[in-house]
Amino acid sequence: MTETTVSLLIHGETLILHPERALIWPDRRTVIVADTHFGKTSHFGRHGIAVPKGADDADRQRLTQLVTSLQARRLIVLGDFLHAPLPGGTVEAHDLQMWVEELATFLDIHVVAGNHDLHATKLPPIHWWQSEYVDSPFCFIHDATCARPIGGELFTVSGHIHPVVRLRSLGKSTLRVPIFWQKPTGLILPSFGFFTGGFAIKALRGDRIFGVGSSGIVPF
Amino acid sequence: MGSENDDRLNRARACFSARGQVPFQFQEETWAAYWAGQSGLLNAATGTGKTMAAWLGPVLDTEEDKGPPGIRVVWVTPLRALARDLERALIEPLQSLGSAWRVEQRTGDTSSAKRARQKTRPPHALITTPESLSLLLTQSGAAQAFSNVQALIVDEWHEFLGTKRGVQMELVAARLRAVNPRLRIWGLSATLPDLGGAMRVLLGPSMKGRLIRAPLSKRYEIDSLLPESIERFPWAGHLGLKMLPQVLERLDRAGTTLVFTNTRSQAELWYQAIITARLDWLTSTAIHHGSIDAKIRRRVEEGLKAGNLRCVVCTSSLDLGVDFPPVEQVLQIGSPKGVARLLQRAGRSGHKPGEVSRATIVPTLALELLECVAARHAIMQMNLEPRTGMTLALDVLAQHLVTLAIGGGFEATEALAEVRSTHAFERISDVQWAWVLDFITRGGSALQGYPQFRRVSLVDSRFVVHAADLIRRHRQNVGTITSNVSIALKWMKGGTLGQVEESFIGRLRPNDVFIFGGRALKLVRVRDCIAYVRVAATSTRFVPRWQGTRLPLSASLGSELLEALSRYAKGAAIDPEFGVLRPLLDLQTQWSVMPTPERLLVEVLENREGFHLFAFPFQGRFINEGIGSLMALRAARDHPRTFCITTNEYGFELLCEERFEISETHLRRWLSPTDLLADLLASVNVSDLARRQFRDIARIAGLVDSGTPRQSKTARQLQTSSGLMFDVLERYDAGNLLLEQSRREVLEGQLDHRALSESLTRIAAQVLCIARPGRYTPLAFPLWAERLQTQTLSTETWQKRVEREAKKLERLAR
Repeated sequence: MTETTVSLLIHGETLILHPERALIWPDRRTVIVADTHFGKTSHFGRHGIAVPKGADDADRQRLTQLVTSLQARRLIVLGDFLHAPLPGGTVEAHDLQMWVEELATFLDIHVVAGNHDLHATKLPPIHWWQSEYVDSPFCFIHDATCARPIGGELFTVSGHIHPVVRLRSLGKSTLRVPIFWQKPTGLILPSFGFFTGGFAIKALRGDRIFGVGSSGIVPF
Repeated sequence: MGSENDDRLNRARACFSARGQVPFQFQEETWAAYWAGQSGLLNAATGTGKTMAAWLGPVLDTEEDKGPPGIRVVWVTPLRALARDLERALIEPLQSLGSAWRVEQRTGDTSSAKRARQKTRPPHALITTPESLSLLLTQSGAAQAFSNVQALIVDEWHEFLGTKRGVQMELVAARLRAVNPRLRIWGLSATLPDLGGAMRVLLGPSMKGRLIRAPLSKRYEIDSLLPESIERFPWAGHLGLKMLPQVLERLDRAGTTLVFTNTRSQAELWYQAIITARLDWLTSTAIHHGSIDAKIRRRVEEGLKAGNLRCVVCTSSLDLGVDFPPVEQVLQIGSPKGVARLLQRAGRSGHKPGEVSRATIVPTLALELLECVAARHAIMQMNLEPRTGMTLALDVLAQHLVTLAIGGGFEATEALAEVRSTHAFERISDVQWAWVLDFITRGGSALQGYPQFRRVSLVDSRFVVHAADLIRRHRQNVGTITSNVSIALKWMKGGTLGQVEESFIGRLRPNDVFIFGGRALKLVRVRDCIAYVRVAATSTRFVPRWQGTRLPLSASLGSELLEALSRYAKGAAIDPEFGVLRPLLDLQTQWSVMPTPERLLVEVLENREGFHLFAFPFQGRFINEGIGSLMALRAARDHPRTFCITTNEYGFELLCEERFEISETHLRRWLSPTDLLADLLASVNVSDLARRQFRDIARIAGLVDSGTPRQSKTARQLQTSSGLMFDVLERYDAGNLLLEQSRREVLEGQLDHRALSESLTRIAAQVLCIARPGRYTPLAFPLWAERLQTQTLSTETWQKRVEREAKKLERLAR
């Protein structure tokens, strides 16, 4: 891969920030993504808003390609796996099930439930975690602000916020860049789905921010 | 027939003479045309009797008819606020005519009980807005309800012309005409340069019309408050409260004054300044702008009418509408921006027959004095900005077709014929039509084979919508006026204050203090599209910023500015403003050259900052920006370099770190109108602009919901930003015609490719004057200051730097 990545050393473990808006834990052959919001385009479609469904398909292809090229053994989704409950018996529900089953043949899929997953059908081959999934030294959670104080020095890895920063380019145009937002106690991932918005954040002193650029990860 | 009309005319005259009046000739002409079955356009100013001219025709025509109950006249007004007074005006003559007609309103404010009553017992005349009328078309049996409409009157048609609301109006008119082919359509309009064209847009290409002009008896006078002295180095962006003492003096002298500002933030600042300086006026001074709660606005309007208020600070929210006879004078703070706009504002004063309508411009910048001269001249010559109808707004069409599908359904061939009978869609191609149908039924090409999509369905060759949730959402979104998502402002104790834009509230944190409606408020919290506030004890403040503040100077006014400069250069200037402007203009001539209609001034300057090129085409911000970007692109093509482009209403600056050669040959090539479109597309980030333009399109076409307060969870899950939608469509559905439309709107609207081309052609015939003044001239200085402002973060350091530089130049000028 020619794209630039950035490695972080946290509690003795190396984590790689990947420009596909994913986090990699190479020692455990784990790929971590947040806020995939699968089925968002079809949810819009069911309500009369015409969003091309290509976005959803492309997200799944992108994720498949990422885990196969890295030969990952485990995929962790930090919540909001689905955008809204998928009605059973639909083409989309079937497609998603097939895709999950195919992935499950060569890796473990763990999903920490997010606010959008509350009423979703929990697809079988996936390991669902109700509030958090702990694999020391990390605590994988959807929304870090909801983290319960857990014993030990766990580092939270979370999503939910869809963090972006606004960059002013020349003139009046602004550019929104998805970011990895590193705080002293945790790391917040950008949303993985293409058709997901972003929340412009204000970083505090001591935070580090890594932008997802078209050619790789850019530390700010 | 003839005697019948004589009889009607006699009754109309009797109605007038009961009030001691005689009808004007234009009124009788309009009635006669109406009774002859004609449609048309009536050009008359407010307060000249145009309402009676349009009203008595239908009243006396159909009052005898024994047809089934139903609406006979639909009267459309651009503003809800006007409906009440209109209702009164329409009811007033009915009694003396012995008519039993009922007149009612139907707007967003109409209660649901009244709406239900209107359905079972429709009034004879319905006063409404295009949005509410569209909404009525979504009711089942809409065709039946409108089948007896004899007259459609569109008030203030000039306000609709050239906007998407105008397009919506055309479509609704076409619908009513299809339901009753004998429908007569009349537009009422203020003066426009092309009234015949304005009429054709309203009536559509195939309907004949009659143009009637009321003689314009009104006289206008434009003057300005002259400051004692001016800065020879004025900068943009400072607020000009300096003229406050003179403004107060003017307020002291008159009974009731309207103080117009260009932005809502400016209105807040001036209101605050006036009541701080005249505490005893607190109860007789008010503020009125579009974000203030409707109830409060209505109170202000009533106070104005009753003559209880001595001063109202307002924005374009009071441009339109009913007359406030007590208004004695109109002050315009800052640039009037356009001739028609100033005319309209001036027209708010001097309503009694024979009185002069007067507007006084309060300059916030020295060069605005020049704009006053230019505007006065333009009004004398009636050189108004042209307005043309918008065409092929597919977003509005998509919305309208869904409306029809909900209100009883439509058949494709019939609907196409109906749509093609409008000016806006006269030339819609079969491909475009098919695309819009496909878009509302199957979601467009990118969604084909996607069974879950549902919006409009085809049942027995009729397009219909059945799903209740879709109908509800569509009704919420009907309307083409779109604005930034606004947040309601409420007191903690309850009670609404008005609306502010989300982007403003988004920058505040709880406990921050800001000024709204003249009050210092403290933000407590924001929840569910409502911002809760308390009265703040302190008054360190932010003034809310609202969109729509960057209205550019019109090209008509721009060319008048050059004329004014030319008159000054020839020594033929008599306007009093020139007395004050003299030092500035003389210094400009001394250090450089005065731009005129015959010559384009280009100033070249090199200093520590780099190499500057200033040019002054006087074409308004957008066109100047277009010319600047084009020049930068072409210059960079000659030799790769980076430019920083800064624009204002008068000209632009190109700044480059390295020196570059400038000769007449170079400039001629860079300013050539040849290959304009291709170069323009390459020079500005059209995609970026189109993405912003898409915000309105997405909302109108139903791709993005307009934010409604207190949404259910399902509604929240359907929320997305138009920007994101644009990105998704661009990547996965590049053939979507709405994307193309947003690019076209950018090229035709903001970049105004046609006007730009005309400007360049004009420039090609001008003499190029290259001056090397060696320092910032009075015309160049504001551009320098503006660039600095975009580069520096804090206002304070910016102001200090600008003042320092101005002082330095002042010393040099001595």
